[in-house]
Amino acid sequence: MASISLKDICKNYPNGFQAVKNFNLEIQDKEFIIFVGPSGCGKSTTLRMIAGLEDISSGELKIDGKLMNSVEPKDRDIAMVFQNYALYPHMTVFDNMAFGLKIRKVDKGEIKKRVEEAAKILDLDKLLDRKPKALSGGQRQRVAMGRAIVRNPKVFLMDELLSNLDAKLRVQMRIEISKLHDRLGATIIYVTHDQTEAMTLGTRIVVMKDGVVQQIDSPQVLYSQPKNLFVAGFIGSPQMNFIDAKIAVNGSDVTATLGNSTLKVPAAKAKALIDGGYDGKTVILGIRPEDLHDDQAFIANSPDSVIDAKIRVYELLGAEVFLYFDYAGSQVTARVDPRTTAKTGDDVKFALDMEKIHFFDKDSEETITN
Amino acid sequence: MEYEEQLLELLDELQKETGIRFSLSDNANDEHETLRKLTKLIHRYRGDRNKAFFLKEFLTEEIDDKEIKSRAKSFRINEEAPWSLIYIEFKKAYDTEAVSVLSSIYASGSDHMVEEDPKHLILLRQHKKSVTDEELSDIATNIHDTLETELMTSVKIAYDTVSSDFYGLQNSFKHAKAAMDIRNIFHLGTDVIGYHELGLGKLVYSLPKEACTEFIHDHLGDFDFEQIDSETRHTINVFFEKGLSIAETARELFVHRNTLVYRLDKLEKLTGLDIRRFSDAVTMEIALLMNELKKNNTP
Repeated sequence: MASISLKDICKNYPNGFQAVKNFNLEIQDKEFIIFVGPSGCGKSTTLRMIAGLEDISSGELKIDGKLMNSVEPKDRDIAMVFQNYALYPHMTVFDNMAFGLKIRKVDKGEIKKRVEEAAKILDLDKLLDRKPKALSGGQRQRVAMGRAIVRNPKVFLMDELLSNLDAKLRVQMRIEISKLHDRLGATIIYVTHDQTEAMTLGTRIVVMKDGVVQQIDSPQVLYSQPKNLFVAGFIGSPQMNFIDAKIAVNGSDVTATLGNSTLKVPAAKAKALIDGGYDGKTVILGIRPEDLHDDQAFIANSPDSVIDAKIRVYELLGAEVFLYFDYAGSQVTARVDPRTTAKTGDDVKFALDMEKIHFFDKDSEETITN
Repeated sequence: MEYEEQLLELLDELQKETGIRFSLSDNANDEHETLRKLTKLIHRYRGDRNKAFFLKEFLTEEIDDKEIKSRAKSFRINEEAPWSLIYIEFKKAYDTEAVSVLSSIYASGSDHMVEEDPKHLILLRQHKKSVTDEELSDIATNIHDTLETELMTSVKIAYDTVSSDFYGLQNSFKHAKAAMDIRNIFHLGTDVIGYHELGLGKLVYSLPKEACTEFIHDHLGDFDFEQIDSETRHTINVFFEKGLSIAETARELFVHRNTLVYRLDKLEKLTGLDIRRFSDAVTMEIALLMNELKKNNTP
């Protein structure tokens, strides 16, 4: 398997559009890296540059220390798997998996060995004689992956692999892909626009927007310490709540005023606001839905962080309840215990877990406290 | 080229095809007619032997309607079924592997593959019933993904809406080729494109460059389009895609509403066009396309 290095990679189109700007990343052998971001952010273009299907306008791409910029895609020892897998309808599962090797004139014995090995990894060994029409959606997807596995590539590139599947199958295939990564010990780069897929699959996630890398970190760090407003809003579902807050400094004490409530900011975050010169300025306060609490015990222990709200929508999801309300000009979501007594139209008190709040600069949208 | 030279060339070609040396005697035709009939004879000989050659001549309109009908019948082509055409452009000259992959997926008895030149393959598909644009788009995307996965080579695909009969394929071929040309100017980030999806690009593509220069000058004076940076260009595109909706564009771009308004204000200062107004938005979209057409070197 392989390590990959991307240094100052750019993609410029002749019409002047810059699809990817100065992309830098070191991928270790056997890593499962996710490129995530909204449509048009440059994630697929970056993947295609690694594959060699798009030319690199500037920068250096290395695989195992070897410069790859002008190496033909076929010679990069990479396999791609797309969402639109077309299985050959008149061929069996075995022949579908063997096809790529046959056209490359690989020895018959070797083809048999590789297909049987891949089929075992993918739990397809009992289905090798079947035709695609006799397979379920998940099995077909596994055959498509099998076609890549039999090539024994150094790197697997997967582009929006699960986008065409229904929700249930998507969850099932996420688990399959995770298992596959463990079994193959392969370096995988996976592109998705779905942050849930990114969070559940990747060992590291690259968040992109407008062709620019916003943050590269583990799922946990991205969730708890987003570097800017975009990452904070993009990672997590329901997304982080953002409310304008006015900062006031009094000695080493700092307060944040949101609508009618004034909240005391914990010491470590207060220091960052003081050091940044935010006294008297308006910043953006971010808080995740699960860090808003309506239970009496938490409220009693957090008298300096309580806000009053009128519930607009109550949504029961079984294991949790989402409460939606408007506060200080923003729409806010709270994720609470299903035993809550709050209902639509109720006046409810919420306490913010002040250790979990985030502050962002209103102009640069960069984090102040992480 | 002189008549005598052309005649000799055609007779040589005919000999290569048939193995027989022909000569002319008692020729009642004029020179032009003689050359035309000899060319037809060569084409007919090749075409009788090779269905793909006939299909290529048919698509490029090198043979007349009567000839097409007679040969379509002789090749047992279903003239009345719905047909679709998928035009495939390879970044580098395709090889036999590409033909193998395509034949294995689609080209069964009723589908045909035509090799236009070293970089272009045409897939003609006969359907049992008419297919929607969406289904055709799925077929084209499947072909694209399969070729790129199997061959690890860059492929672009253009297609036209389904034709109600075999004869409509001549038009589909023109449309698919035009779609590829237009894609190569206005839609560089799109790998699979349908003729019906070209929007204003189709209209602007048909205009002479002088008319474009005049339009840009009338509405933007000497404005230098290089002043519109990549981020602003992307913002404009998304704003148009979202039907000039500030809220939806801000959501799509993951930016605050005020950030988007600031970008649009900046663009207005730069160009004099407030693209929140429909008429200015239309002018901006047309001017941007015209500018790209002007930058392109095709005549």
